[in-house]
Amino acid sequence: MSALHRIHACVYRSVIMLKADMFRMMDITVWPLVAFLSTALFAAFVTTNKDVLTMIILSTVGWRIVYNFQIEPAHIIMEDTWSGSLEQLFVTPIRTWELLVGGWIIAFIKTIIVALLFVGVSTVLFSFSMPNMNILVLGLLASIIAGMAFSLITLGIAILKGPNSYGFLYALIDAITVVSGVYYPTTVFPWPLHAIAQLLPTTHAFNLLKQAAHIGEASFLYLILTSMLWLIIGTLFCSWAVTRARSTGRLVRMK
Amino acid sequence: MDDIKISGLSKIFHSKKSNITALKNISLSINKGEIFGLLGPNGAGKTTLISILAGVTTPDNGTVTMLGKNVQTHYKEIQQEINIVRGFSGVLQNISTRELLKYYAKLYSVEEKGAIDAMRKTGIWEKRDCIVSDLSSGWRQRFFLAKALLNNPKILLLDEPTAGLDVHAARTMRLLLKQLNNEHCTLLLTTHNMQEAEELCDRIAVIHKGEIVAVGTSKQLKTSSKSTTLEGVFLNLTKEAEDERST
Ligand SMILES: Nc1ncnc2c1ncn2[C@@H]1O[C@H](COP(=O)(O)OP(=O)(O)OP(=O)(O)O)[C@@H](O)[C@H]1O
Ligand SMILES: [Mg+2]
Repeated sequence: MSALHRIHACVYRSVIMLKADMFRMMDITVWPLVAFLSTALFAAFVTTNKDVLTMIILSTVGWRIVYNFQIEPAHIIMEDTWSGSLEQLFVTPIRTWELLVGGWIIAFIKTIIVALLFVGVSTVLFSFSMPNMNILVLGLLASIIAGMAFSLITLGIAILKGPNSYGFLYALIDAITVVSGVYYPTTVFPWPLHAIAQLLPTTHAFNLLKQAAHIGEASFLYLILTSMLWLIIGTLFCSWAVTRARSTGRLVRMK
Repeated sequence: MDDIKISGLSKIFHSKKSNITALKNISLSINKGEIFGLLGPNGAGKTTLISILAGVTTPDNGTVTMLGKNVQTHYKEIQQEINIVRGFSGVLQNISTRELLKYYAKLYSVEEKGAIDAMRKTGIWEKRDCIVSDLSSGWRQRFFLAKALLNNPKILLLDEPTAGLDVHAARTMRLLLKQLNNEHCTLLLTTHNMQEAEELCDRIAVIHKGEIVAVGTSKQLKTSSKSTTLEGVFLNLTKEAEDERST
């Protein structure tokens, strides 16, 4: 029960911070839409193939999901660090997993808003129609899990390395997404990069989204194995990072 | 009964350039209902000790028991029953007192009524709709005290709670702390203000270079240090630090 209160606290905090600064609203409406339109309009310009267009729209949603889930838990830490109030958070009984779940719920809410916006705009501008629903739902779920796995590592780095790492953490997921072949097959890469891409859960999640648009086929086996691998690596790394930060006194002195 | 029992506590911070011994074999008992003062020069290890008690820093050696539980193994349970106020803390920007306290109340699984009680008790109620980050230092410290009262703590850790406050604000803070102590809350307080320590504390420990060099009532310390003031005691006990600084 207390855990639920603390998770709720993370969500409540996000709501009051959003209310306090309306510019934050643009982070979940205007800016994602601008990025989306630039890609989707370009795609519509170079191709009339409906499947390709659908794939690009779904992949953009997938990218956004991975990004939101990856960054949101660490974002809580970042905001507290910028405000000099990080210790105030860590002296409360909140557990790391509660912070993660709180971040993921915020990510989920933001994703719903953005996804509805993308699909709405796509329906009007590109006469987008829903593709294979079963595969689509699986693809979205796989993107969520991949984002969660990377969020464990992101949170760990944010706690361990502090503000110097924040720029890197924002760029990290974009780099991962690009290597994961978001709108294209990973075979475009030379072999070492292509091989690395196979080890990322995002690659297989994006393959599922492509499959939902009738392009290519995803490997469920690889999807499950890589997701589990990164969830395990992430969990171990994150819990090590928190232990390490408590030992170095970082949580008190982080600026 | 001891509310806080520290034995053989050590902490070394390792950095690329050097290793800093922040705490060296500290042993201390703080009684239930006591106001215990921790005095020491800059860098003596006061904040490090408070951080270990608050469960945000882990010690290298030794054990700390608070409210009968081991801090190393049960720090999350202990955190539900204690709280902390620091001087010079930051707050999340652009949020009102009421909303920010409501957020912290949720973190302690406390209903909104608890937040209202804490606001009334500390007087911050009249600033409930003000933005906390815009408040003056005095009011902001009252906000932090209200935050620290949310969970009705049995132990309150105070790290320089009056630092940077004007005479009125510091006085208000001390009055609130006394009132809290009358309600049976154990207080552990660090300060650089000797008068404040003398006024508030039942017992005082002087910490110097990570070691406890004296513990007792202000009267006992004065007698054993052959000094008429607490400042004299402090200067005698930490003379070495002063000498080093002047050379
Ligand atoms: N996270 C940390 N990493 C490295 N060194 C640290 C860390 N925290 C504290 N120290 C060092 O440990 C020593 C004790 O610091 P601490 O902050 O506990 O002193 P203090 O008694 O609170 O001093 P002040 O009166 O200035 O607040 C200092 O030399 C400080 O530089
Ligand atoms: Mg200090």
